[in-house]
This record gives sequence, structure tokens and C-alpha cells, in this order.
Amino acid sequence: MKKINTMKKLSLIIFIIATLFGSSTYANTSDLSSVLTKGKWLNKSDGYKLNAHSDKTVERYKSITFGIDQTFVLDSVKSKYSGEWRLIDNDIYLEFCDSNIKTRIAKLENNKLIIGKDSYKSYSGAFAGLINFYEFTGVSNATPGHIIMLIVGIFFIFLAIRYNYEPLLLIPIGFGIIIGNIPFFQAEGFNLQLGIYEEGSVMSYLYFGVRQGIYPPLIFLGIGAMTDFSSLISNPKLMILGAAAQIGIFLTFLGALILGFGPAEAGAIGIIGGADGPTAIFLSSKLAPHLIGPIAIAAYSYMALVPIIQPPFMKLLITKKERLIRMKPPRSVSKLEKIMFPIVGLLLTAYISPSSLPLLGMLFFGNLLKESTVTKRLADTARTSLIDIVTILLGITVGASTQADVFLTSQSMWIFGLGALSFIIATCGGLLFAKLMNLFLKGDNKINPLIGAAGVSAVPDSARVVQHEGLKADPTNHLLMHAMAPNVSGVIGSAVAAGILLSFLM
Amino acid sequence: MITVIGNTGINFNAAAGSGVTVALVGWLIVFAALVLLVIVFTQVPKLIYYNSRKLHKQKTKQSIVTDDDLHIAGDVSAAISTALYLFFDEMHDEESNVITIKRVRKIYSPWSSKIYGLRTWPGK
Repeated sequence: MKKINTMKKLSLIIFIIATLFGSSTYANTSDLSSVLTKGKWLNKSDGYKLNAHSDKTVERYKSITFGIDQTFVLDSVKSKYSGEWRLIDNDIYLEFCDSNIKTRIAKLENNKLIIGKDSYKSYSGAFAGLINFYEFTGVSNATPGHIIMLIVGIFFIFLAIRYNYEPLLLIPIGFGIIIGNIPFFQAEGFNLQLGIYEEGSVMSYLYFGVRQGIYPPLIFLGIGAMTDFSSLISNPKLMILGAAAQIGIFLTFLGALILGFGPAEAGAIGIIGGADGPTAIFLSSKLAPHLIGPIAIAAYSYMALVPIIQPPFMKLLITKKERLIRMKPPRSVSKLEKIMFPIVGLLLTAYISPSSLPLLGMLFFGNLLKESTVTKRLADTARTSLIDIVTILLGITVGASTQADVFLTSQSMWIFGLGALSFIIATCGGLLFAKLMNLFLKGDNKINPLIGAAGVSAVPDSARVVQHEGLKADPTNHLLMHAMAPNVSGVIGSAVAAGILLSFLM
Repeated sequence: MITVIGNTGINFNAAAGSGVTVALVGWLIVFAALVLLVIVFTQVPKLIYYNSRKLHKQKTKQSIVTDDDLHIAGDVSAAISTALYLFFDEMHDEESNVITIKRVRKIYSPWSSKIYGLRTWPGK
């Protein structure tokens, strides 16, 4: 009795499996057509290009369904074909509706349908549906690259929350990285309108502002409306430090050329040394749109890491004695001078480098809104709501542009390396030039060379680092106001440099 | 062996020609633009304060008038500002000390009436 029961159970299990995966058991029956019309025939093969931005190929399913009415549908990611099928001597003739496609002969061998090189296996409709669903899940499409980028995104968020490193940038970028690296079904010619690189997706529309360089000038408008140029106006000679630090841009440009990047790409990479995220995005959107992601991420990451990158070089290049230099307090600046600065500043810089007009125009316009004191409402909007909205959109889309299959390339790694180098050169350039300036200045006019490091834009973080390092040497020596002068001139300098590179290389 | 990094590989010749020119000229232009701003904004205060400088000169009959004579130093203005801030801040404490309670008359309304509250049983 026990044996019979066990046999019954076994046959029941076999029956269930046969019903679920109902294929092979019928394959050897004489009635081929009933076998063919049962369920769906699936094939998984490699060779499908992921997207237009990547050369990677992936495995994708294609299915063929035979109807009782002698019609068939061949469905692949690339396209869908239909036609009629006939059985002649155990051969299945597939005649396509599209007259350009020749008739194909399929065979059923070992429960598998063989069409040319492809082999199809039969599954029940429900199971084929489950496979189809699984193919579209993130789990199925995840790659090690996606996991790496997810960790990077979470690390950015951690840095922003735990150490307060540029949280306004790192939180949107970090979360953007997570959004951009949720794996989804991709194949060339198949558009789910999900990813940032898929035409018509919401993220792609938001990314338009980055691709076309719309967001950076709007950010500059807000920066202009926030910035007080009085420390610069009161001591104009400190402006030169902002120019000196731009050496980072041009030396990195040479470095990128040596490493085999094209001139336009090298220019876009070099601008990372300007330590100015919006400028870097603006220039790369014009010179090397395919490198916006890595360049923007590198620029913003290094801007956030200013408190870590700069101090060692400050200690290395500036002596203890020099760090103790006290600077003359800045003179008070009249309203007229403050109003004149954006107008004269724009005229002088934009006439020399008109290509930087979108950035400089908006920067100085924002500053005039602030300094004129009669457009308080506009200035308030520019420095609060507007810049906040644009920062959110910029951060999230730049983050999302780091989709692993597009972002994780050897080029991106080199861009990161060159970016770090660029930052270091810019910092050293500013510091050394400040030391050089001291050789020609006397008495009260001597400057504390630490403020040279603020010549890399990164407003106001690099000025804050200078203040911090200055206080370490002498707790009563406040350098913040003095450092703001090269800091804001660095913004002008990097925008001018971007304009020059644009006009030379575009 | 050439390491492929960008498009071609490590190539010092690529930077030797036009690369160096672009870098050098570019940096010099940035310098020139900012030096021009330095020059202009060093002269602007002199132009703006030309009249007051002249008046000051006539009054004091001093032969040399420097910028320092015309401007208040930052620390001095900070001290004045702090003093003014503290003064105006202190003023807050000098109040009349008369506390008045205003009588508020409420107009009767059945909406706020306690008589028609939900606690009263209907029909009582």
C-alpha cells in the first residue's frame, strides 16, 4: 500500500511539473502541431547592445508563438515579426509577412525548436510571463557596476550628513546616483522612457538643462546675488591670486592632452581645476557632452573635499612665520563702488572673453540686483528660491547621469585622477603666487600667503579652510574676509578661463 | 607600448605644439583680464573721491592726502557698528513698564453660545 501511495504521489508531482513546464513530454509525439501550438518558445541569446552610449552587449529573450490558425509571432527586443507556418515532413516552414525576409525552416530536436543557430525551449504561457517579468526587474539587470555606483551614492550622502561636506550638493548628487543606478531593462532600439539617457523620459527632460548648459548661468545668477564683492573692491590686488590659481586649469589641459584626450575633451577636463561646478558643467556641455557626468561628479566631489585636499599643501608650502602675517583690515567700500563693480567688471571681462558671457553676465547681473538695493525682491528670489530649485535639478540629474554602464569607464577614472591633480596644482599655484607677491609688498601691505589657496573658486569653502588654517597658527588672526577676495575673483577667473577655452577649442 | 587612455594613448607631442600655446595664452588672458580689473578698481576710488579729496585738501591745506584719510578703517567701523547695535539693543529694555489689559467685548452669537452646546440634552 505504501508503495502505491508513493507512486501516486510521484506521478502527481510529475504531472504538475509536466503541466507547468509542459514542453518536453510532448516533443516526441507524432502530432507536431499540437506541440508547437502549446505555450511559448523562448530563446535567450547574447549580442544585444545595451544602449547607444555603451558598447556592452547583454543576453535577451526572444519568443515565438505558434497559433492553431497556422500563424506565428516572433517577438524580439529589436522587432516583432509575424507570418504563417506549415509542416512538411517534420520540418516547420516559417513564411514571414515581410516579403524581405526569406522563408525559414525550423526543426524540433530533443524537445527544442531549432531555427538557424538559435534554439528555443517551450514554456507554459504563465511561466513565460514570469520569465518576462523577471527580465524587467532590477534584480535581473543589476551588474557589479550598478552596485559600485550605489555604494558611491550612499557614501556621498554619508559624507554630507555625517561630516557636513557640501550637503546642499552631495545629498542631491548622492541620491541622484542611486536613482541613476537602479537597473532596468535596456536594449538598443527599445525605449522604456525611464533612464536619463532614454529620449522622452522625465529624467532626460530634467537633464536637458545640464546638457544645454542652462542651469550653470542660473546658478551664477544666484551666486552673484549672494556675493559681497566689497573685500575684493577694497583690496583689488588680491584679485590676481584668483588668476594665479587658474594655472591648475591650463596645466591639467596639457596633462589631458598628453594622456591622449582630444583638445576639446582636455579643455573640459582641465576646467575641473577651476573648482567651480557650474563652470565645469557649462564648459563640458559645450566641449565634451559625453563627459559631463564624470567631469561634474569630479568637480563637485573635489569641491566638497576642499577641507581635506588643501590643508596638507598649505602646510607644505607656507612657513609658520608666513602663516602669522596679519593683514590690514579692509577699508569700507561705498555703495557707488559696489554698484560700479558688476557693470565695469562685466564690461572688462566679457569684452576680453565674450564666450564666458552667459556665466559672467548672470553673475554680475545677480550682483547688481543685490547692490542696487532697489531690486531686493528679485535679489532675494535669485539667492534663495531660484538657486535652490536649480541646485536640486542640477544635483539630482548630474547624479543620475552616472548610470554605471555609461559612467564606469577607464576614461572616467582618468578624469577623476586629472581632476584631483588639477585641484592640487590650482591650490599650489595660488599659494606660491601669494608668496611671490609678498616679495614686492612692504610693511602693512604684506599678505598672508594662506589666502592664495582661496584662489580656486569653491566659494566659500576654500575661504573657510584658509580661515581655519589661519586660526590654527594664530587664534586671533581672522583671514576669512581677506580670503573671500581671491575666492570670488577665482569665480570670475574660472569663468573667464572657461570662455577662453571655449573660444579656442570649440 | 602605448597605453590607451583617451583616444590615442600617452603622447607628449600632442601637448607640445598648439596645446602649450593654448594653455599659455589662455592663462595670460585670464591674468590680463583680472589685472585690468585690479588697475581699474585701484583707480576708481580716487576718481569717486576726487571732489571730497579736493575739499579736504582746501580745508586742511595739507599737501598729501592719502586714501586712509578718507576712509574709516574696517575695525573702527566694526567698533562703531557694535556700539550702535548694543545701544539700540539696550533700548529695548527701557520700556514704560505699564501693562494694560484691554477689555475685549464679545458680541453674542448662538454659534459660540454655551447654552446651545452639545453637552446639553435636547429638549431639556
